[in-house]
Amino acid sequence: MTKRKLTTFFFILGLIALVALLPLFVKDVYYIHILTNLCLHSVFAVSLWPILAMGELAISHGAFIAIGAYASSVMVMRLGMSSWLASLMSAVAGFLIALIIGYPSLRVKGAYFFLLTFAFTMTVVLSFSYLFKPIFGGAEGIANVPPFSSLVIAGRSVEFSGKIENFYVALLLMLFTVGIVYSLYHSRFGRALAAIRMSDLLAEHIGVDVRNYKVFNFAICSALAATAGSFFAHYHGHVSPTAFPPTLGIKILFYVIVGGGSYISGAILGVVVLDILEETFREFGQYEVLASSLFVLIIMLFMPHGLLGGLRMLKSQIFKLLRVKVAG
Amino acid sequence: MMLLKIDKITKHFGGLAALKGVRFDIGEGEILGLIGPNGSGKTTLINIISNALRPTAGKILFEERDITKLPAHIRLRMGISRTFQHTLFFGSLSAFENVAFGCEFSLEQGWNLFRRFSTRKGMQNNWSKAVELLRFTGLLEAKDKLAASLSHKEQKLLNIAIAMSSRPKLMLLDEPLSGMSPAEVQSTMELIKKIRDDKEVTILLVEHNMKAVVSNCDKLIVLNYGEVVAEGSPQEVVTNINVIEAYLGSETELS
Repeated sequence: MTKRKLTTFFFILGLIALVALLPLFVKDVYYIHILTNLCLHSVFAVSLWPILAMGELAISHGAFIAIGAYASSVMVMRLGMSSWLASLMSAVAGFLIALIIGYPSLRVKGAYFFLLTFAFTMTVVLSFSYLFKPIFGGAEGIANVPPFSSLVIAGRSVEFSGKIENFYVALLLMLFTVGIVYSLYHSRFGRALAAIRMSDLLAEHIGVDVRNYKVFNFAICSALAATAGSFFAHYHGHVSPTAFPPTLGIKILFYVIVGGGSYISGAILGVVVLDILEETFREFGQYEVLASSLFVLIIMLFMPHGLLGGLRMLKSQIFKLLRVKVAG
Repeated sequence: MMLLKIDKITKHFGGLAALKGVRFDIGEGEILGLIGPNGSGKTTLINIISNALRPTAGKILFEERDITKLPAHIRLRMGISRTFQHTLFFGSLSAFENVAFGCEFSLEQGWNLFRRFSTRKGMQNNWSKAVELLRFTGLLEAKDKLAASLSHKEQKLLNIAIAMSSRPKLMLLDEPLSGMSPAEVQSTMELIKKIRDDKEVTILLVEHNMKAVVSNCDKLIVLNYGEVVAEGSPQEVVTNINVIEAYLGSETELS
């Protein structure tokens, strides 16, 4: 490992440790809740990132979160499954549904694929509202979803009803997602996705199985989103169609695009900035959406490569200034 | 020996018949020139052979196997590669990376979902292969330049290098000489002959540059309005009355 890589490695390790130790200092439950949401939204954003990395936009992520949440709730409440197993099964459900949806709809690309994912999202949300009311609970949804069942860790029984325990679950889920997405993208598979983004025609003619790579990538991302949805259900204890509006997918797209699409860390940065903004503007009530949307608009106009791209440019500008000063 | 057999290929775009029952063979080790006026269906035919398009009817046999329904990446692994008329490459990567990408994906190495490299040795293998290809096509000095910043001729050569990275048996070159000066045409044609001789690659060449085609191809096929109007050695073809009519129009009595 080079020195630079080692520094980055320890920086990231330190950052994780810092976040993991935060609950020791922060006693206010409100802040723990915000931190948990940050982790959860990071999972949303990071798991959407590879779809953007292959050059497609998908709004269906919100729908897969809903699918994961509903699948997990139904399995626990109606079938009496263990919540941990239900989480795993909801990921499998998300994966399979994404395969079924992705295989036909990834024949088209760009705006057409985006519209297809939108149609799918509407179908999912409306299905949960109007179909199989005894199972999905109609517009009311499913109330009183139990938290994750207790586990025995290091000889001690740990309950998952409190905020702090759930924060750690969310943090682990986030690290797991980042790990999977990072290693996927830095493999042959990831290079194939990059080739597809740059030119799918050429990718096909240098031997990349474009269709299958795209479908598989879509399915993996959607499965991760479904896992996050399952956590959402057990954490909030209540799922309903209104918790997963069609705009949820757009919000997740905003996270990734505001943060900067070229790097995974950009997605997390986007989540942190937009969520903190949302919390600060909360007192404005209905104008909060207006304020965050304006912010997104400004970022997209003045920093086409997102916040991370903007920061990098700023850094190089400052270095240039310094160099001029030193030289002068 | 027959390498590729085009059997009654027909392609309709709506009501327009771009190809009408085209049939010809390509023998192993040939440089076959495919010529014809604009809009005669040359590029459509190349697209069908490499499966950027599906034919309306007809069959394509490669090494006596029916490949009409196989997807492009499988055809590539079987040994058919192509270049594009409009130069096509990954513009934000260097010339070397472009060819290395080609080397990496053309071989059947599985998906390797999580591992950084299939094996480090395999990766270095790809890299040395890419360098060797760049040397072969004369791009070694431009290896670290961004593909988008190369000169027109270098971009055309890069396309050939990418197409060669899969070790093809048959290369479909779609106007590799367009926009080149006479001297560049000369050197590129020499390169194409060298590919045929050294790498034992059969070449299907689509070109408008008559001089280069006539003096370098073993056999010519002339398309006009989606039909083969002449076939044979260059000397036979250029004196063929059908070909002259296709290019210059037919004689009419004026008096």
